[in-house]
Amino acid sequence: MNQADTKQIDTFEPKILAFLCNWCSYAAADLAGSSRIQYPPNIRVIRVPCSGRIDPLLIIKAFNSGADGVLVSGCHPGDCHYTDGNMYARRRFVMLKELLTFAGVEEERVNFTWCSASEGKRFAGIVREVVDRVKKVGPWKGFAGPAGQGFLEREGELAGGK
Amino acid sequence: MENNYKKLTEEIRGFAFELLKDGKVDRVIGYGKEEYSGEVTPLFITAPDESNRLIFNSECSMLLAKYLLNYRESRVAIVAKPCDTRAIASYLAENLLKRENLVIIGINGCPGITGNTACIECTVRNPVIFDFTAGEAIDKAELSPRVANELEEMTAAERLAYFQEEFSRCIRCYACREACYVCYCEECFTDSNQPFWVGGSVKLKDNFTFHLMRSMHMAGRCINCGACEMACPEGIDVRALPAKLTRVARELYNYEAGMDPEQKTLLTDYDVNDPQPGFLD
Amino acid sequence: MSRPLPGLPVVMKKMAKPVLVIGGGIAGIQAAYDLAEMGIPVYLLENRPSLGGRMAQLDKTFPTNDCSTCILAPKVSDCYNHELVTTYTYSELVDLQGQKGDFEVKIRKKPRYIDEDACTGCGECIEKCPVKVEDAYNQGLAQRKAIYKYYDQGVPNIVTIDPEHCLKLNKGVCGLCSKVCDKKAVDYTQQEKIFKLNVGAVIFAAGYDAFQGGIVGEYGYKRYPNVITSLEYERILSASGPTGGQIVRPSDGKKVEKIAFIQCAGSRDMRTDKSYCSAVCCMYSIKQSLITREHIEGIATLDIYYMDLRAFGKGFERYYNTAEATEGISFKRSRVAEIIKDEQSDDIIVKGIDEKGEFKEEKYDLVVLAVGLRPSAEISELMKRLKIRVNKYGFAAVDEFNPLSTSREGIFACGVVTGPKDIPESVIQASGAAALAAEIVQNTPDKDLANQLPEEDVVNNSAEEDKSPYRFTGNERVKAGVFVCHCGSNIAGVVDVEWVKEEAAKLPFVEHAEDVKYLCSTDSQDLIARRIKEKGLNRVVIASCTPRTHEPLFRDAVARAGLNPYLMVMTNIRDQNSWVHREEKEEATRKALDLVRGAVAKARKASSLERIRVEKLSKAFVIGGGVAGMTASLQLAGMGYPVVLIEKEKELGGNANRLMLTMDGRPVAGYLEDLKEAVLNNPAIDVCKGYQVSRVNGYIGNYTLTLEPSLDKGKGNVEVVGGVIIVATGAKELVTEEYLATRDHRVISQLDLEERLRNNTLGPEVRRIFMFQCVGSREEGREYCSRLCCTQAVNNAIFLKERNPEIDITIFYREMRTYGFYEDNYRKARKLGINFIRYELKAKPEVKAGEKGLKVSYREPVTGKVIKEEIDLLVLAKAIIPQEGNQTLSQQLKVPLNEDGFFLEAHIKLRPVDFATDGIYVCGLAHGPKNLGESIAQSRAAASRAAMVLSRDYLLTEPMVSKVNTNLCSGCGSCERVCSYQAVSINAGTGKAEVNTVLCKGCGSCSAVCRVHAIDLMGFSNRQLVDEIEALFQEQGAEVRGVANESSRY
Repeated sequence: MNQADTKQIDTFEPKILAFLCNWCSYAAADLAGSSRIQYPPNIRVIRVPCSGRIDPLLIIKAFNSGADGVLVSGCHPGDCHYTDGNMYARRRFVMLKELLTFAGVEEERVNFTWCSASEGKRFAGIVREVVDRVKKVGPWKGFAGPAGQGFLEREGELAGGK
Repeated sequence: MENNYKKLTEEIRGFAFELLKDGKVDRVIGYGKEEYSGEVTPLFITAPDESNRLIFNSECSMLLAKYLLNYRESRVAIVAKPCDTRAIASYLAENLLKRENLVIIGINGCPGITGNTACIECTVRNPVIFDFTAGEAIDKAELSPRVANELEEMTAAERLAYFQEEFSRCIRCYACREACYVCYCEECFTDSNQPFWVGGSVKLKDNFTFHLMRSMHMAGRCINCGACEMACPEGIDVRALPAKLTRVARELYNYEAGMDPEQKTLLTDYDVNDPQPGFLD
Repeated sequence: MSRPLPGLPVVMKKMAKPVLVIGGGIAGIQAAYDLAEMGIPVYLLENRPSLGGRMAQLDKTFPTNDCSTCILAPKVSDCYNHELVTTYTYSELVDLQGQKGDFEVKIRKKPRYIDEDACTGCGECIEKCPVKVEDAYNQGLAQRKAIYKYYDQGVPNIVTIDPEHCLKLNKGVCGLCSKVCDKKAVDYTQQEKIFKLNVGAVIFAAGYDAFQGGIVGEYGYKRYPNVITSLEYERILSASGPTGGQIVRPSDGKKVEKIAFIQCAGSRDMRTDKSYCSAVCCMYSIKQSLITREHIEGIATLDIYYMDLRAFGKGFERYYNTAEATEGISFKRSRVAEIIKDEQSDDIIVKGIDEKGEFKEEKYDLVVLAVGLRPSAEISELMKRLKIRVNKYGFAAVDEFNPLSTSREGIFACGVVTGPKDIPESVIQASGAAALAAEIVQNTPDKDLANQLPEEDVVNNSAEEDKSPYRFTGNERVKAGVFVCHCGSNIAGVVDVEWVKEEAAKLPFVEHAEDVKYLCSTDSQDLIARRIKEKGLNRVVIASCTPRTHEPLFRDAVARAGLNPYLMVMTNIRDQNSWVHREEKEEATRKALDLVRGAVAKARKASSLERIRVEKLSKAFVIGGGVAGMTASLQLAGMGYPVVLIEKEKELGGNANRLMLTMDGRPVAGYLEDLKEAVLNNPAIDVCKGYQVSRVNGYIGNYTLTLEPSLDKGKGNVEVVGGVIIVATGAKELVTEEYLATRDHRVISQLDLEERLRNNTLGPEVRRIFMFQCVGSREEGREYCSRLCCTQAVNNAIFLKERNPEIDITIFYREMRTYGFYEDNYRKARKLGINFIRYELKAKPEVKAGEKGLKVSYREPVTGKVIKEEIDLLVLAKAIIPQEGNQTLSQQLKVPLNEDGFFLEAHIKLRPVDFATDGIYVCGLAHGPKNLGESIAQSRAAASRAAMVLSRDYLLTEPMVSKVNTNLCSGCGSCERVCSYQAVSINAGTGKAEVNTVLCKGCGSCSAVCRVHAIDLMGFSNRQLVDEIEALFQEQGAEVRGVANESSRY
């Protein structure tokens, strides 16, 4: 069964994977919490020590697993807890985003930003923005699309006399 | 042109003969003809009198540089097209080869390989690193490379459809991977069960994912040599994604892979003022 | 999560007497943390309800624009959670008796009306409280409730009742907070507690207050709402401030387009007793103007009204130049005569007199007064109780040779209590004061205390016998226990906790699931331990609050049950779920289940991690035998560590050999001779004169240095081993030919002048002297201020003038940077009749050699006329430049230099003497231009940081570090290139990557660039993250079918 089939566009509530670095962005998300700033419940957070930890393959994996969108947030340039992990991460993310959008993934699904530990309000705003962006492009139908087929499947069809 | 190849072949044979005769290298890697079919094939020779089996012509498509990884500890000479020399420069930058063990016979003024669409886009027609050269160097100004932009002009949905169609034909034979100089990993992510990066069967979803992941691994490393595309038995446009990243690296970071053995790879370097297009404010 | 500081658990040799640290701001926190890491128990006293001090109120910090909270918060929690730090917040010192080595202090703990152990900081009570009052943390710009947290990220994270405004306490009505508190933490009957502590030394770090009255009042503060102080503006800029970072003006909420920053509001003011310079205001105003530019793109006008722009610190000049080049920011050299409100609107009119003496006035939306720093009334009172002397401005009195010692033995001071200074200098002083306090208490060990503490607490998780204290689980089937916390109604009020528990129980590998009212309570901790044993659990998933605060607690609980603590995974269903989706209960419940499923998947692939014991050496290397190197050596020796002091010249002393006076006018020669003698006679210090470093091998705890002779090349090389390295190689005077220097004997440098004065060789024929400032500093190629030359020139001029009033001295300057109390010297010089003439970089004075004297021509700044004069002597303030050897040494040590060639510390704000590579430290002029007193403080700081390593019996690595699978590694070196800590390297022999786990900080950069995934970060491994991703996106119901991750794969 394809997940996308079950998703209705009008009531579409995306599920978005968020990678947050422990020292700034995760702290900002916590601050949004202790300040009770409300935002939509569409993100699923994975905590990582540093945005520099994020292997771009993990983000491709997220789309493979059915995430409707991805948000990555690290410390602002210059604020990295580990000196410059976010600087290396920035190049990786830029390249990854170019790759994914070139391959046809809507730009709105691939989101990168920086957020400091004191920006609880901003964090909530980012989540709202990302949820809106993903809603705009609708459910992610997967790399295979709604009727995704591969070599073997086509062979099967042919064998079935289609 | 034919005369050119004849002359190139002569020069290459000469270098190989001398090197093997003087005992400067244990082995020369170049191109030869397959005994029965007559097709061009990689040739490994160890004796000076085998030198006359070496050839060079427009059919010499394979990237020989990758074979060097099998001979890290011995002294090897290699017939290297400009793209081979770029691969060698990258290997040297990643400490995979020892320069002192290596003799590079560079092909100057590479005319391109028959049937390799990447050669049309090529701007590096002279070796970037060499010990000897065969042929005449080409002035970069004389070149008029064409850059593929049909895909660039498509909408995201059209491109998605295009790649879905392409990758639906993928049989996961990994010829693209085997041909690529970048793909020397001991274990490819696609063969790993722990962690399980991507499924290994030929579902479109996983095929697509595999090609994305493969392309990401080539970001800042791909020299756009076209070996992957030449190798694909299904005629899939497997070069489009890595080639796109090569263009992005050039445009955003002014970065060309494999131009200098001292070079840092794109993704192990940064500038504090790097651009961040598409980042949320 | 691994910490960037050495962060190794404390292993103590002997139990020292505790040290009392007064003040929980950045200085106090730094001092307390350093001491605790040296194995010395600390009592940390803070008057406010939470730690953090002034820095917690700042938005960003100069000159890097680092987010203040981001860099401060980890430091606060490291300190607060340290096993040797006992923190008393909301407490004050009442009395102190005794002497060095044995003080008795009386502490008053004010009633919070809250049971500190019971309160979870959930904040339900705050929401219910009906009383609103002015919020001091937000400088009164916002309101808080009568029950409140001092600030949101405050530590400890608990509430306090404001007794002045609480209805229950005052009128006996309300009591809502008590009613909503499930934990029964509210106690209206709580009384203050007075208790006594016995300590060996005291560190006074009480901080400062901002100016309020006087000129600040005259400028319209408190009368006009649109005239605010810089500290208030800081809160407005802050994303967590009253306006959420929106810059609007207080009177009408109008968007701000024109702002004036008024410098020296209350500082350098002759009419009051606050005539010193506050040293930080110029820089913070530049920062505020730059940050404002970032907030409001295209803001029209940001005018900075100033007298002298004092950008004298490391990296400041560049920061200033950036601001100058930024569109919209203008620097107006102008005296502000009057600030009034516009009659028609809420706008503010600033009237100033510029350098040419012309009156100018301009209208602004907002005026920010750059208020200076001063000791508050409470701080002054505290100094009386401590019986320490104060200077004429009311700051704790110190002298330049002893910048950290108060007048009372055993009491040290750091931070702004001894005078205005910025954060890095406060941090340096704090570490330095810690070293001095350590020296005292280490020599007076406390036997009673050693007996009080149980043995296992002292030598905790030490791997003493190299045997894991944890159960071996490698051969067991994965059995996970899931614990879901209600957090009273904080989670359970939104999330259907029971449903989550029931669904979690159905997940594969989950053996047990349970919901608990408060997981953080002591009995719940016991419950978790019990369940681990009963059910044979080998993975634990905690679904509760944020791991940032509670991970250590649950790790402990798991460890107590004999299970490896790294087999526990937390997921945050409160701060990032129930608190932020209060109206979407169903969605929040589903999200909670997703998160639990992800955590179970991650836990399933978790590995047991252990700390590894690494032997270390206790000897320190100090490179450089100037005042900095000698001070660091003596400090280390005083704390009991042997030192090898390496000096390339044949004599110790360095630049100080040529100095005559300190900045506060004391003769250097005697001090220096005493210092040299102390070093040479100290049996713990091995002085290697005439040697320099030729090779460095090893890492923290285990260095081998090869020393080669620098003078007598005939001698052989020497190899020495030690545990840490302090770089104190100094700096030197610029060699230049500008202004006929080195070509005419009548042109000398300030150092030459001091040498002549010291040796009394300045002839009586010298009657007219010009002094040129900024020779080679603050210009292209050397974009920094040499910091001490202004004060040095002023002091030398005063010295000459006082001895011979007939002598005629003129100082040519670009900005007079006599910061802090040195402003007094500047004023004195003017009073004595020394002339000061300002020149511009583009119109430098010109010098020609004449028959009798030197011919100088210059442009008179007010009239613009060119004036020619003949003088006897020209004294140049030549730039302080880095040593030539810095480049080589930095490569040998693999530590960086900044763009000017000085050594670059790990973090310009909070790690001013450390390098990113552990075990190497920097002090003195090698780090950047600074005066003698500042060098001394920094040397003691370097010794303190080094002692944090040397004091341990051995080092223990962090568990969550990177690990290499050598079967996969190709040796490409990507990991090595991205590692900022020199922790990963390619082994020359095997050609494979290897991780030095002592140096690894667990950031994971290496694992993200490794394509073959040969290097992986433990605790956040690829297999954990991949499975977590898959689990998060499994469709609802998948877990009902009881299908494992694998099934969806094939």
